[in-house]
Amino acid sequence: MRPVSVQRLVSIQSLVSIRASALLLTLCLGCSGAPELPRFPEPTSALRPETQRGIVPADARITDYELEGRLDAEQHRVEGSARVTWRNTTQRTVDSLPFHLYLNGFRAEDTAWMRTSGGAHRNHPQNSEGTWGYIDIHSVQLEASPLFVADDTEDPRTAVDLPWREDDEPSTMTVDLPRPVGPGETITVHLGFTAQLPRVIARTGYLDEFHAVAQWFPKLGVLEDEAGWQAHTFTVQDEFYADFGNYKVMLDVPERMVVGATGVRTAEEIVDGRKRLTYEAEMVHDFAWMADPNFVEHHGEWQGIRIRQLIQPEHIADADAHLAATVSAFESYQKRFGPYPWSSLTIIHAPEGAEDAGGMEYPTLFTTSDMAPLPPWVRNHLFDEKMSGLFTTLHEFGHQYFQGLFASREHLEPWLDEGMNTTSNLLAAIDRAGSEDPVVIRLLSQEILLSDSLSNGIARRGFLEPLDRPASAFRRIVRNYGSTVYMRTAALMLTLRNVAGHEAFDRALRIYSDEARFRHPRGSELEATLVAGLGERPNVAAAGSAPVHLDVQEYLDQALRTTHEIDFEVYSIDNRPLRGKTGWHRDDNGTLQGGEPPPYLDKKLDELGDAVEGRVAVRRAGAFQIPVDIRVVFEDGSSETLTWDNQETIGVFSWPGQKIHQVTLDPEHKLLLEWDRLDNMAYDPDLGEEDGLSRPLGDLTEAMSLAVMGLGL
Amino acid sequence: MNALTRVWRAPRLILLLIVVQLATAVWLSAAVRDAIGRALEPYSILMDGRFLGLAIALLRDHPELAAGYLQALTGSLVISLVIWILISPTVITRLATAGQAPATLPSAGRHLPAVLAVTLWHLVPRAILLAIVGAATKTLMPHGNWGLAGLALTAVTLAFCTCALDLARCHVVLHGARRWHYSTALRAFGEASRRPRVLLPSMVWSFAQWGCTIAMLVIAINAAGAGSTIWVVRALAVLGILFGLTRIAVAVEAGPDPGRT
Ligand SMILES: [Zn+2]
Repeated sequence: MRPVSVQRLVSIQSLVSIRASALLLTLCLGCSGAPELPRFPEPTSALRPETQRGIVPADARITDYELEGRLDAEQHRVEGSARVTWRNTTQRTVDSLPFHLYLNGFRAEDTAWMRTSGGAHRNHPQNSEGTWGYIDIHSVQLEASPLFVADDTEDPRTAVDLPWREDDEPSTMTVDLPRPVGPGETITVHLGFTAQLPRVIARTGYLDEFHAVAQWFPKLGVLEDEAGWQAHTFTVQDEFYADFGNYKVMLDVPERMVVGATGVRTAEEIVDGRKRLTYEAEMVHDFAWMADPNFVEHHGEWQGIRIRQLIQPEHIADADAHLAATVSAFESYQKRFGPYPWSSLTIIHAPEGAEDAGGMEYPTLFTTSDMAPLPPWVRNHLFDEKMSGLFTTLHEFGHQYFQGLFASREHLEPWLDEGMNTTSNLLAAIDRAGSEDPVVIRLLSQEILLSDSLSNGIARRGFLEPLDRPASAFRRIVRNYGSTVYMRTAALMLTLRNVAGHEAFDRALRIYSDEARFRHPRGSELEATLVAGLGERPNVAAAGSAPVHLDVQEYLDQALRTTHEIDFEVYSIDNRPLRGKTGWHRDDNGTLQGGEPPPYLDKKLDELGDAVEGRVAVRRAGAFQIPVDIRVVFEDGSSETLTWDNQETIGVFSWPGQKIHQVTLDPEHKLLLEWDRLDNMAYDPDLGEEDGLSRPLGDLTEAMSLAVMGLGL
Repeated sequence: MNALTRVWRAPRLILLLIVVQLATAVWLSAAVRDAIGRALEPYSILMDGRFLGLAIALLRDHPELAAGYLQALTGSLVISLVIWILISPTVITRLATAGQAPATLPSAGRHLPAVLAVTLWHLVPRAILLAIVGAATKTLMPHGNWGLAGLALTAVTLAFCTCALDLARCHVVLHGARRWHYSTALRAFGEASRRPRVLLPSMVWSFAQWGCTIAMLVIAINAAGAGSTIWVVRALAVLGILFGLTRIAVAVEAGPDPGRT
C-alpha cells in the first residue's frame, strides 16, 4: 500500500501548501492543447517473451480464475461469476475451501476491518452517507468431473450445489466439499456473486463515475503444507495473500468507460451501449480493474513492456514525469531483483476526492498519487521534493516485485513486504540519482538528504515495538506502523548494507530475489540469505583499524525483534600532559631515589610539544550493539579512524603525543538506524568552537524577522 | 521637492526606523541563538551539506525551539504592524514637513485613530481585488499550474493597493479628508488609477522594497550553514526601509487629489 511520507518533515512539507496561495498566483503558461500522445499496441501475450521474462516455474501455478463482471455504474455494483480451478500441490488433504470476501470488511460497523480501522482509512472516514460495501454470494457449485461425482447415482456431468457459510467475521467464508481433495488433485468450483462497491475507502470503491474495482470477487485462500489453509480475517493493516495462477476476465461496462486492468486486453466489442472487454493475465495472484469515463490515456514503453497510464485530464502534464520514474525503476529493479515477467504495466491516477484509492498495488497495475502542484520554475529554482507523486509511483512499482512477484505473507510478516519494498525503493532512488545519499527535498540551495529524512522518519515511534510481528499486532492508535514497518526496515537494511559492504549486500539480495520469484518467501529465508551472503561474522573495521566483526544474525535479531536503539555519543574529550616517570622510585638497593617534580608543572599544554596525551571517552547510549567508527582529528590536522566493537558501554581511547581537536562517531553516516545524531560530534571543549547550528539558525531567524518587517504595510 | 529629497531631509526618522528594526531582529533572534546553543551543548554539528536535515532533527528533538522560532517571527510581524501602521501618521507628517523644524510631530499622534480607520476600510477593496485576481488566474490556469505571470499580476495588484493606501492615509493626515468615512479609502483607488505619475513611481518603490525582502530571504536561506551573510541581509533591510519611506514620500509629494471637487 501507500508509502509513508517522512512524517517528521511535515514542517517542510507544509511548504507545499503554498498551493493555497497558488490560487492568487496563476494565469498564463502551460496549458497547451491536447498533445498527440504516442500509443503502443496492446501486447498479445500476458507474459514477456521467454528470453526476457526470466524463470517462471510451472509448479507455481495453483489457482486459476475465469471471472465475469457486469458493472452497474449507477448502483456502483458488479454482478459477477467466478470459475475457480485449484490444484492441490501440497501433501495435505482438505475437505473444505476457504474464500476471502474482502468487500465484506466494509459491510457494517462491527466488522473486524471497521473495528480495527476506527471506520477510517488514512484518515478518510467511511462516508457519512452510509454507503457500505459488501459481496453477496448467491451460489456455489462444484463443476462435474470424473473425480468429483457427488454420489454414484448422479450424472457425472451435472454440477452440484455445495454448502457454504460466511464465517463469524464475514470477510471469509467456508465451502464444504463432498469428498476430500488429496495431494495432486484438482477441483473446480463456480460461484455467483454481487459485489457492492463502497464509496472510495481503503483502496477500493467508487466516486461519481470513477470505479476502483478491487477485491471484488471471492478469492481462494492459500493451502500451506505446514499450517494448512491460510485465509486471514481482513483488518485494517492486512493486505492480500493468494496463490499464483492464470486469469481470464470478461468485463461488461458502459460504453463511455475507459478501463484499466491487470494483464492484457485480448478482445473488445461494443454492443447496445455497453463495452465488453476480455482480459488475460498469467501467473498473477490477483485481478483488479478501474473504470472512469474521464481517464486520459498516456502510453510509454520499456523493453517491450507496455506502460499505460490512465490519468485525469488536469494532471496529464505530469504523466511524462511518472513515466520517467517508472522507466528508471524498471532499470534499477530488473538489475537488482531480476527480470519483470509480465508484458504490461498499468498506472492509474485516481481523481480528486478518491485519494483513498491511490497508492495501492495489484499485479501489473497500481494506483499512484499526484505530484505536489508546483510549476516547473518553482521546482527548478525554488523548491523541489521527491516525496509526493513520483515516490508513490516508485513505491507501488516496487510492489510489482515485493508482493507481485515475491508474494510473501504481508499479514504475518509485513516488514518483508512493505519494509523490503521501501528498502528497494530507496535503492532505486540511489540508482536513479547516481548518489548513495540522494536529495529528497531542496529549498533554494539547501538540501535534505535521504539519510536524514530516513532518520527523521524512524525517530522514536520506529522503536516503540519490535518490527517482526503480524500486521494486526500494530494497533492504529499507536501510529507506529509506517515508522516501524516501512521506515525501520529500510533503515536497518541500508545500515547493514553500509556496514557490511554494498556489493555483498546487493548480491545477497539478488540471490533472495531469484529464489523468491513466484513463491511465498519467508522472512527467515531472507535472513538466512543475508547471513550466507555477508558471512556470519564479517570484519567490518575501518581500514587501518584492528579487526572488528559483525555478527550478522545477531544484528538482524536486534533490529527485527527488539526495540533496541542505536545511539552513540561522544562522552568526553581531554587533552593532558603526558604522564612520565618523575617521582620517587626504588633503586637496585631498595633505596628511594629521585623525587623530582613532573616537568609539566606550571606549564601550559601548548608549551609541552609532544609530551601530551589526547584521550576520548565514547558511550553506547542505546542497547543496540553494532561496531561503530570513531574519527579523531588531531590538532596538527592529521586524523585517524578506528572501529569500536562497543561490547562495553563506554570505550576510552588515548593517543600519546597528540592533542585531540575533534571527535566524530560514525563519520560516514553508515548507521541510518541511529536517529539521534546530534551528540555524535564534539570539539575539544577548551577550543570554544562554535556548535555549528546556533549561529546559522540565529542568522536565519534574524533574516526572517527583518524580512517580515521589511514587507511594510 | 521630490520624494527622495523628502526622505533624505528626515535623517533622524530614517535612523530611528533602522535602529528599531535592526535591534528588534537582533533581540528576537538572540533568544533563538541562546536556546539552540543550550540545546546542543556540548556538541557540535558538522555541516557538510546537511544543515537543513540537522536543523530539522534539532527542532524534532526540541519542539520548544520550534515554538521559539515561531514566536520570533510572530514578534516581528507584530512589530512590523506597529512600525508601519501606528507610526505612519508621524512618518507622513515628518515627510511632509521635511527640512523644517519638526515642531508639528507630537501632534501627529492625534491622526492615529483616523489612519487606523482608513486602513481597515482599505482592506475591504484590497481583499476583493485580490480575490478577483485569484479567481481569474485560477480559472485561466487551473490545477495549481500557476505561472510567473500570475505572480507578476498579483504583485502589480498589491503594489496598486499599497499606493492607494498611502494616498488615503496622506489625505487623512495632511489634507483633511473625511476621517471615518469609507469613501476616503475607496476614492484613493480611483485616484491611484487616474494618476499614473503617482502610481508608477509608488509601484517601483514598492517593488524595490519587496525585492529587498526577497533578496534577504534568498541570501539567508542559501547561506545558512555556510559563511555568514548576516551583514548583507542587514544592509538590504536598511535599503528596504529607505525604499519604503520613499514610497510613502511619493504619496506625500502627490498632494491633494486634483480630481476631487
Ligand atoms: Zn506499499
